[in-house]
Amino acid sequence: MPLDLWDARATATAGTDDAPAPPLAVTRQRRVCRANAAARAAGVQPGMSAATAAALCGGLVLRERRPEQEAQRLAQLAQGALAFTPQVCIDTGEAFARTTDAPAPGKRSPRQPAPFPDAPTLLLEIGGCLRLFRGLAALQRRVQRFLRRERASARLACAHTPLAARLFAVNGVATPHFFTDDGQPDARALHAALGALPVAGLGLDTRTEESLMTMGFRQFSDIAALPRPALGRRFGQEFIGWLDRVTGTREDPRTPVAPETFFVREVNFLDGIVHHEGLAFPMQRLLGEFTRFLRQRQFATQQLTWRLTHVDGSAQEIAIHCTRPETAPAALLALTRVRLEAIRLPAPVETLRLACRQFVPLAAAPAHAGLFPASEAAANEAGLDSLVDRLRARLGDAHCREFTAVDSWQPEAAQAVAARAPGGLRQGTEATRVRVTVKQEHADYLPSHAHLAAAGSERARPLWLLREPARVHRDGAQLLWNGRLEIIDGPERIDTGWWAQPVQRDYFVARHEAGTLCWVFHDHARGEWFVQGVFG
Amino acid sequence: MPYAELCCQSNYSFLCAASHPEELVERAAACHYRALALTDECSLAGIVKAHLAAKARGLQLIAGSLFHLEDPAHPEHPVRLVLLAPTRSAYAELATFITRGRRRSPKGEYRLALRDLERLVRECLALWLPDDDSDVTRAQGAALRALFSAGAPRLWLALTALRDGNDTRRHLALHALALHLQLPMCATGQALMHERARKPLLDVLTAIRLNTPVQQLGTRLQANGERHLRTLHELQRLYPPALLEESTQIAARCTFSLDELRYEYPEELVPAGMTATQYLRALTETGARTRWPQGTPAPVQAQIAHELALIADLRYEYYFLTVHDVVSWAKAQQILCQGRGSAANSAVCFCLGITEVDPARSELLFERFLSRERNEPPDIDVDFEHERREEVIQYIYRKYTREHAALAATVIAYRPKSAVRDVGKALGFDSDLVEHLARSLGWWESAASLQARFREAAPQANGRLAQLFLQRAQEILGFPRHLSQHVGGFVITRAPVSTLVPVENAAMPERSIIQWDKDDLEAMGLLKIDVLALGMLTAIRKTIALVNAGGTPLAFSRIPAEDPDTYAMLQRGDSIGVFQVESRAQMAMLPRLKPQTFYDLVVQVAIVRPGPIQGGMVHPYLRRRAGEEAVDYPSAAVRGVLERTLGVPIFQEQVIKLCSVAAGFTPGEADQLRRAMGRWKKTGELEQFRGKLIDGMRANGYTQDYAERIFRQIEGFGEYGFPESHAASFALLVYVSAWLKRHHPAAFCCGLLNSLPMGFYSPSQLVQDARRHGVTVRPVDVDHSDRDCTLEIDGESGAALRLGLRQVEGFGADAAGRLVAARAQAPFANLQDLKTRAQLDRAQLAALVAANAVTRLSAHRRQGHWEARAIEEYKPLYDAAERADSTQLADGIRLAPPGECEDLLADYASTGLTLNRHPMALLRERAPFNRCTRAIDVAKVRSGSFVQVAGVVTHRQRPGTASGVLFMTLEDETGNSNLVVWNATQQHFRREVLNARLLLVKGIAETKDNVTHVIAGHFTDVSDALAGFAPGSRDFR
Repeated sequence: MPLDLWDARATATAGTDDAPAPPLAVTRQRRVCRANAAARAAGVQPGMSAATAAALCGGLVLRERRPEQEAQRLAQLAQGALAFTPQVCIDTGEAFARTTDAPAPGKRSPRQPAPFPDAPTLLLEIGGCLRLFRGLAALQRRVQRFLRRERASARLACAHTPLAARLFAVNGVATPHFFTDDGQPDARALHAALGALPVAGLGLDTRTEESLMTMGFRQFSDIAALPRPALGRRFGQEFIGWLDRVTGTREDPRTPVAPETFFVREVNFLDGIVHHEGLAFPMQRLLGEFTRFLRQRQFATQQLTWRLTHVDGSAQEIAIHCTRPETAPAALLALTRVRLEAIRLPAPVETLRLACRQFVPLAAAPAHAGLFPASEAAANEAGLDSLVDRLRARLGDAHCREFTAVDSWQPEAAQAVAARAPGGLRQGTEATRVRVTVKQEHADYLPSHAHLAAAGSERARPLWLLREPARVHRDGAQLLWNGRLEIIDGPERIDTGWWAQPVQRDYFVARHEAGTLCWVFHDHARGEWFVQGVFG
Repeated sequence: MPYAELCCQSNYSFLCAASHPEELVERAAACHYRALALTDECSLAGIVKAHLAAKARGLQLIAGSLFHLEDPAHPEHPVRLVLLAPTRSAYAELATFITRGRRRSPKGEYRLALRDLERLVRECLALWLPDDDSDVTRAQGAALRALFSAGAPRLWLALTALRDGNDTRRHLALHALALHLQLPMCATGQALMHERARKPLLDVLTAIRLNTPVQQLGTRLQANGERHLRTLHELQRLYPPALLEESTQIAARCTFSLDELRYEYPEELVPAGMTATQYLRALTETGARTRWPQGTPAPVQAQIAHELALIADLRYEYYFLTVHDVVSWAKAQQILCQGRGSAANSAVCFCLGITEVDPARSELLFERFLSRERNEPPDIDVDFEHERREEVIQYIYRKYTREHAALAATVIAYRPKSAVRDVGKALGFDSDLVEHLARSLGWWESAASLQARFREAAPQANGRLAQLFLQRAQEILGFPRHLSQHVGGFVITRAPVSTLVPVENAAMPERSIIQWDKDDLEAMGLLKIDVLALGMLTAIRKTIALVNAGGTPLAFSRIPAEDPDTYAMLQRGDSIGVFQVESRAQMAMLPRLKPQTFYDLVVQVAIVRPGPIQGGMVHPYLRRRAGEEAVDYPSAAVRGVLERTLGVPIFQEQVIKLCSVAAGFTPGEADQLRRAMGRWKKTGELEQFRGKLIDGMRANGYTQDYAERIFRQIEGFGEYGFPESHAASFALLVYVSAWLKRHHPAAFCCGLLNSLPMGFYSPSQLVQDARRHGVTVRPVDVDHSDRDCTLEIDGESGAALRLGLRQVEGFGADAAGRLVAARAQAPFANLQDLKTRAQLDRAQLAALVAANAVTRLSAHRRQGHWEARAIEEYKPLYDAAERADSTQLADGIRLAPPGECEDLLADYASTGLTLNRHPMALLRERAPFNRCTRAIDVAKVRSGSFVQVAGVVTHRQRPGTASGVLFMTLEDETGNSNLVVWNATQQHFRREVLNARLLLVKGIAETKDNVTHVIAGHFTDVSDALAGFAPGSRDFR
């Protein structure tokens, strides 16, 4: 009977175990689930609350597990492991979790978890590729090398079924001696090792595990020896199914991970293309093929790369970025052309390759494929976006900048210049101007400088700010900045930023002797005057 | 140019403003404001504090409140309005208006609309705070003008200059609006802090309120610190004189002061045709006849006459009648209760049945009652059985209605941990760091170590930010965070409560609280009755009921006094389960103090407290009691104060009295001192008395050292005040519970078990103690157990204690009820029958198996679990024919029985105790435990010699008074060993001390005054010796 040979690994959650590491514990729902050597030495143990652990171990670094990041890392490793076998599966550790019983409330003592029973694992079916890698030992060495390269710490185990391999791995059972180098199993040793696994290390749901423990079952063999119908009556058919899959009396089909999606096509030209125009047609053809590929998969993209290989072996890459996810060949071609015009072809082009590795599901892309844009604003925005795309394509990303308003009292922090990010332009809010007329009735309720304000002095903010506030000189009470300044309104007081860079200023509008209005401030901390900007 | 600030919020507008009411008053007075209105948002919670401060500074204080009123016509634009109370009736109107808004909203919120003004506000003055002159504000202004049109002008348009660059525009806009509406204008500051320097804290509070770090708040923070109480000089630069002048005109119209509030008692208690005085006298006389059927002793009669005269003089009759009413109702419902407090220990209260402390039994206590000089309201707290207090509360609500009865508030304020958490979050610190920092403030640490902890936790942190963090955390300490409900202080009034103080909803449904806390109530002379819960009363009632059921008639009031056997037991320190004196420190004190009379118990209860300990009074008292030191008094006056405690001050009252007698405090000063004691932790107010006390005592010939000790004792009382009158009421419960333990140990243990959770000890410890006293304890059994623990009377061996189903983890009262009912019909045939007839689900059946309560129905635990698991879930249509026998359930499988250790662990896991051998008894057979001294033998070791002990850690305690010493208790099969762990040892064995469940300790035995301690030197954590063994230690502060 042919045996499947699997290989399971537990991945570490985060970081590497460098030698003089500070004490670190990984927690899940504020309970420690793993601790490094330094933390364990201080008495930190799995199952402890984060508070207790912190109390025990001064300077303990606590990290909460982040399931999404773990899943991402695992998926990445799985892609790498495809180098060894096409059959790679991810096992998140939830293979047998019964949902019929809710966990028992109010347990007096929290269960001490087994080494790491819910560790995510990768399962590699290696039965078929032992010969290719010249034996089990050699294959394991290569896997170890791969893991080192990936800076992942893991435990390897081999067994005749996926679940058994997983259990050996999470329980830290060394397995090489269960198989000869060409994959022949030592059935007795395998059986004995499996039977000796502790019930607490089987990764069962808490209720089932506790129930088995109360009946006095301590290891796998205690359970496996019982008649299946009696067990089924108590723990259900799902449990029996799990048991049988562990021992191998039942099939355990699994869905292997699929290789990543990417699109790469190339065209070769026998005699090389010398002119830009010659590239237009093959590019159009490749883009056509690409958009069909996108349509079939309901994808759009914001980024693709052209690679031009020349007859002399040199190569050029042109990366195309779109502001919004794109599917239309015409738009992509237009962007490509703009970029192409800007480069010089040093030698005839022998190979043209189009590659795209990053996709967005179409549903997530804003729909503007309709016959009419949904609204004028949307149409404007779409027009603006394509304008921005073309500007970027022509000027280069480095030369496109965007002004954004930042919510801050501090004037120089209130606007930011940022590299143009994908996505629509932000609409600035238009300041509303209030017209004020003064009546002279009820005059003693009026401010003393009402005549000045009649000009309309809403909160003053000049459009042009100096790059750096410019120092204003004083001659007695007279302010001088390339001429005399006369204060006509203010102050507006700003006192903020104490948590970083304290800003304590009184702002005034001042009239320069040349007639321009300046925005000046008095810095309280430094006791000096500055010009911040000029009103247009 | 004079000015009155008419819109100013304190930190009682929770998280919206950054100064205490007292600070605002102080600043307003310093700035020579004509008046200050405290206008917290929909609240008067800070007004009493401001009132007291304003009175002290001679500043006019105006009661007011700020509102955001809904306008149904413009839902996006609420109307900002300040209401001020010019008169007493306007104040009632304001309090009622706030109450209306609060009572219809969940805790902490309010909802009020413009139309509510129409119905509820007739006399209040109003300042409207609009932002601009738009169509919306014009419409709202017109509506307001219509609402406030009657009589003299009552509505102003308030202008605030904020120096935000908009001042001029706003000023012109509001001016135009005022012209349009023909409204007068005035200047207001809308202050949120007393001075500019609080701006950073205000930003932090905003961040906490909006749950966003300050760095991300941008313009949601105030642009500057202008919203403080500005100097008159600055105000003159900001406002035209006419606007400032107008503010003082408004203030001049507000003549109301909080001093006008008069408390009025509910009247309905007095029968028609009688005055309250006559009725109280009649009730007292009736009571006296019941208490002394042979005639009231003459001294008591004189005491009663004296007390009644005093009560009549101070007009407190209704207060006593109210307490009497509540207590009588509770007694009629068979709810055990007892009063305590200065007024409770009076002959009148004894006659009224409020207390059982007999004046004839201890006249020492009764010299102090109410006094004319002491400006102190009568203080009666009534303790009720903790399981039945809710019935009493509901009675009060029923009798006086929710309109007239409400609970006092407790102000929840920032403490070191919460300050660290909230400020850290507001400054955008990593949540791990904040949490670590908050938690690393161990349960025994104070804020002082915060800085060190911060450096330890985040050595790489930016030093400046750390500094800012610490400053803000220090500033926020003591800031009120929200109102919560007082443990049981009821205010009952004749007029609706809401005319005195606003009422709002508590977090608990069907509870309403007033916006003032107990200090406010006391300051305003409002009387409250504390309806408290006490577990020991429950236990005593249950014990007495068990004794009565056993055929011995007994009642709380008929327990024989001064029983020598009871005192003998207490003198041995044999007091597990006894009220108050069961703690370790008390237990260690009993053999030294050797109580022989009731008054000794009063001292015993009061002496192991921070006051006497910090004052160093314990040893002098013990020495004098033992006759090792002469009892003398520095003067006759002091003799009068200290005679009953052998010249050593023990009680809070004695210390205060000493201040008058020996340090020359005036009655007023003594009264201030007494109030300050209750608040020491909050404000450090006591420090101001230090100089006066020490100078005064030295001038009267006392030594510096003695005076310092008295002051330390005062500080100790500040931490935990314990007056003699409370001690006396507690001492009575000590005596009663001790008597029950001595004479009815099985019933007493049973009563305690049925009243848990309460007290100091776990069920396991109580049961072990009972067994050591010869009580037979029987396990939980589905054939015999009720829900509660019961007494089973067997012929000659007396009563045995049968554990109840309540001990079984995961088995609720409902299931227990069904089981007992099903058993009454027929005994259970097997597990299937039990499960079906008691309608148990699978988890409940498993819980019974786990408790080993089905021993007749299945062979042992393992087999029981195996069989129980095979039974299908409960089906309502149960067919008797389906009734399976055990062989079917077992599937022919016989499992091996569990070992002793497994059974023991399962016992603890399910019932928290075992009736089999103690875990230490099991371990005792093996090394290294076979070389350890048993707890019972530790006392026999020569003092000063080396000893090795091992046991289960049952208590860890670090009293605030013992400068870093940690006390631990280890339990083994023979009893408890007491460990003393010095600070250095704790640091060295931090891990074992914090974490171990089973410890092996090497140390030095030390015996003094019949009490043996082990001074711990070396710890070994042996928790793994019984894997998974975790009865759970309880940590005490």
